[in-house]
Amino acid sequence: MTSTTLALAAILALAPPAQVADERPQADTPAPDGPAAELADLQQRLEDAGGSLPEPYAVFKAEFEAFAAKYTDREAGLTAKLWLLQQCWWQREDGTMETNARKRADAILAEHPDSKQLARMAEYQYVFSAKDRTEVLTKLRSSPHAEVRGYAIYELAKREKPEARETMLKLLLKEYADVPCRLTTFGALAEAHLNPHPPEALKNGQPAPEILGTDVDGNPMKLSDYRGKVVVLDFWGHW
Amino acid sequence: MYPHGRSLVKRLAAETFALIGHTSDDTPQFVQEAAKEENLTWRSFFDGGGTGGPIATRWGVRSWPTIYVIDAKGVIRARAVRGEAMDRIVDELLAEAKAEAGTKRRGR
Repeated sequence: MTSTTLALAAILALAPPAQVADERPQADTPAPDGPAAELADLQQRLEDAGGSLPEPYAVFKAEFEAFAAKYTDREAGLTAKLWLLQQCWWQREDGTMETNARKRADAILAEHPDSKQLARMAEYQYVFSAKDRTEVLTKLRSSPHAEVRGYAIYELAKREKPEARETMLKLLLKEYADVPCRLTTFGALAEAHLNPHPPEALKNGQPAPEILGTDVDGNPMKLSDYRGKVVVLDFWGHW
Repeated sequence: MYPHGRSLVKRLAAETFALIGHTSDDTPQFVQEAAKEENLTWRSFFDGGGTGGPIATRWGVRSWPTIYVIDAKGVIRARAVRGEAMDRIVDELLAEAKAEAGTKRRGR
């Protein structure tokens, strides 16, 4: 796979932004109301139209822009802004992706510097030029939220030279080990990056390294449970 | 892989064989629904929701599907095999495991 198709696979694998509960819990209002409900409706219509692909994007862009402007200082407005940032991907062929992405990122950083949702920005880093990516991620390192800082350190580390990379991964292991990243932790990710199986350990004739994990239902599962059986181990994705 | 996986699991239901998946999808729910729709019966490791999960990272997985065939002793015997080539190696390894079990019995 080329890095472009990989990045595309990564984009397609991203679910639409999760619905954001409104900022302040309002005990008296039973049904979701206001920006959160409006956003959920917009996201549902987007999903029904086929999700984050070029055509739905073209149709929904104006609606998301209007929503972001209307609720510019709310968390729901930020969700819409982050969606628009992610969708800059579709402008990569006319050469405006990186410029637009940087503009949107700067506006978001200025307007919502303290939001936890900025972790998404670290996740959408493929829309930036290399220089912008480093600058944006560096800014995210001063977030008040460990999840955002952890994501920024993790994404910066991946692109560093070996020595700096190791230092940053060890920092994640030391200070962000239990901080969640998607459905795992920065500790588990850093550990994996610091101790990958060497390619020669994965060759024919080598004992298969143990895998300790959980299955899709959350039950513990390990590769050695299947010792005594012939096993086909298939790394796949349904995206 | 689904149609082939399904037929492989069905054909080898009586054998000491297991198909094990590893999924880089975003959420367990998504995989559960897909498995239901596609009638997938085998277990999969869920890897943190994304293509760069801890297991995939340790195994250096960068393209999908990535396939390993492991014998009954836990040794990697083939990689990147698909279709008929996969069927053939699996059948060979099943025969090999049976032959060894037979030798052991005779040796006692």
